[in-house]
Amino acid sequence: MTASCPKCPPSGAGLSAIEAARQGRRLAVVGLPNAGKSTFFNRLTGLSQRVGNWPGLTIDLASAKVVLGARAVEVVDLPGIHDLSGYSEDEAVVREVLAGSVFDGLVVVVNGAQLDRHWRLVWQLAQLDLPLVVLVNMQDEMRQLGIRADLDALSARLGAPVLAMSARKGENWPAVRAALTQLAAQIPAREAPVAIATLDALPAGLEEARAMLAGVHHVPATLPATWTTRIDQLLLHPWLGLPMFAVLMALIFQATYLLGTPMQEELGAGLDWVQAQWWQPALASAPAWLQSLLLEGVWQGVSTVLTFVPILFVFFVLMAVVEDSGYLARAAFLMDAWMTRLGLDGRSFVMHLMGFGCNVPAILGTRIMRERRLRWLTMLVIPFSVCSARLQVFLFFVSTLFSAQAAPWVLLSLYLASFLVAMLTAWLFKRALPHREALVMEMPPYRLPVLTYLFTRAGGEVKAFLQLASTFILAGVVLIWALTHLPAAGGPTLATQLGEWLAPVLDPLGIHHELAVALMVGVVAKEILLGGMAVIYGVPEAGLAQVISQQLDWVAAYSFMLFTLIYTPCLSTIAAIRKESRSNGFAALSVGYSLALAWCVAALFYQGARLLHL
Amino acid sequence: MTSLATLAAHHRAQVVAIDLPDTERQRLSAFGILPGAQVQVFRRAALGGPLHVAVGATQLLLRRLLAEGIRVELQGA
Repeated sequence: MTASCPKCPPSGAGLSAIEAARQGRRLAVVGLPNAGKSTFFNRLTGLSQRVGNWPGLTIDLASAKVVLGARAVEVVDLPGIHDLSGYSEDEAVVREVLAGSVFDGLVVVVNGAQLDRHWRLVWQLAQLDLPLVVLVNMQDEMRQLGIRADLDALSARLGAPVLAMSARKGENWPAVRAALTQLAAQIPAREAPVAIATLDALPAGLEEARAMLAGVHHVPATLPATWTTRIDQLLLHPWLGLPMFAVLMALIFQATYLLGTPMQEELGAGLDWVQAQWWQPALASAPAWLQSLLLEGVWQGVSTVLTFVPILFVFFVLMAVVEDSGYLARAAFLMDAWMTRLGLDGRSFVMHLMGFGCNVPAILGTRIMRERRLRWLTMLVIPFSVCSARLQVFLFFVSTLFSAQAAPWVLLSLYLASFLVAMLTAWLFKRALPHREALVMEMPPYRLPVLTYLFTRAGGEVKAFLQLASTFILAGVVLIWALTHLPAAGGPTLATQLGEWLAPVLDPLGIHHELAVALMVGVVAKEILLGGMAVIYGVPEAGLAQVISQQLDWVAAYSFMLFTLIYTPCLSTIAAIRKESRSNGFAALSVGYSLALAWCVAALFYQGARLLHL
Repeated sequence: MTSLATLAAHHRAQVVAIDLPDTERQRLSAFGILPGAQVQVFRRAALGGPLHVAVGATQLLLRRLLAEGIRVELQGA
């Protein structure tokens, strides 16, 4: 099996990139989901990476160069796996990476409170004839539970260093680094990867692992009640659990709005000042068309998008808190019975929640599902979750057309619409995609998020957003500027012609013709929508609000928002769906279905509201 | 002998056998659910939802469909 294995496309690209980058020594970080692998990796590399109490969250291979001793060592974070002989895609990815590229050593991260469950992977990895270091993580949780392990004895039995660690708190860190340095310094460097035959012939190792732990790993017969137990009594309460979940979600949106909006206004005012003080004088002598392109096109479009950076940052920090805390697994517990009736499961629901940040990682996250039909059904539903790009558009319309008191509730109604559309979709397609999924997942203890990681993580998301802003969004607004300003000789512009051509489709929804261009370009990335609208109306961010409130009443605006919520996912999401489903037909279905549904829902709303004379 | 799915909240039991297809059995073993393991039911979700169980220091969400295939010996509350 090589990197081009057609059954394993996800790792292919990552693998060859890693192979090309290998110059010095290379270590792989391996462990079970929720062992604290990513927290350890972050502490070691300082690289911003997603860390979550969600099994299988680490999907793309993250790697970083770390100086250990006198050497720059490449450290690669592999997806969390239960054992080397498992059936999930992540397990296939890890097997393929180990057999496809050369590693000089393995760093195995295990949860010390659950050695009985984690040690089998350690035993299997020890059979691969690769040097390894085992890091027994979560020392703090071990102490709380009264769990003890004689690491010296384990080290002797395994024939490899076994060290205590708390990745969250940095306990025993100098010793951990020293062990890694020694691991990377082994001479000579290895030249060949693990033979695939060795991996295929690995025994399950259950008995061997149990024998190795016998007498050196002590778990009290009754574990003391922790604060996780007490919080669960409240948050998983038989009939208070679900309402509390709804309240928690509502709080997140309220907080995003309350904290982010003032910052957004400040930033918007600042950017307008820059335009008035710097750009306009600087461009005063330029030809009129160039002024128009740079000011009304590039600057207005991009600066409108930029004003959303503070709101996105707040939102990503809050979502990271929810993810890192371990609450998502509880959400899955609370929702599973409901989701099963829709042909989905608790994890589908959590993926839908993750999609609130961005749909793409949520689509990749469906890999933890083993049943193909369940994965497909979940992938069909995820694009309906309000990603941060759509959130921008909604925040803008909502704050422009509704009072400050009504705004958060209107926003919440769009999230409800997102869930309703997802449920309708699942219900419509569940007969076509029947399945039986063996759902079992860990409910990790509640953990306090590590503050610095929250900020680096949110910072990473914002950075990715800015990269998008400087490429796709820039190109998009320039395209929209061209469509709305050409032909320059006068007469109807290209955008007007396009809008009129699409009038029969747009009129029943109450969507203004000039917005057609923004919606079409928005398929590439929905972040372009707002910037595009600023260009279409030829006004800066502050002025756009005024123009919109003159041009649209709330019914037409809500119809536009519903359409934006449901219609075709962005290009990256479509690409992710195609890659993960390995089916062009399924990706086409996803695109076509969402477009048709968006039209129907927006038309129903708009025509219904007009009938009621709203 | 009874199935884990019928256990009430707060009951402890020992796993005796697992009557499930191989893939599901292997999946359960990855979470520590094997013959001989001690399990405790923390709570049962409403409407036939999953069970919240503990095996050693690991807490799990376990769908009822799977729990039905896990034979256990009741050991007390």
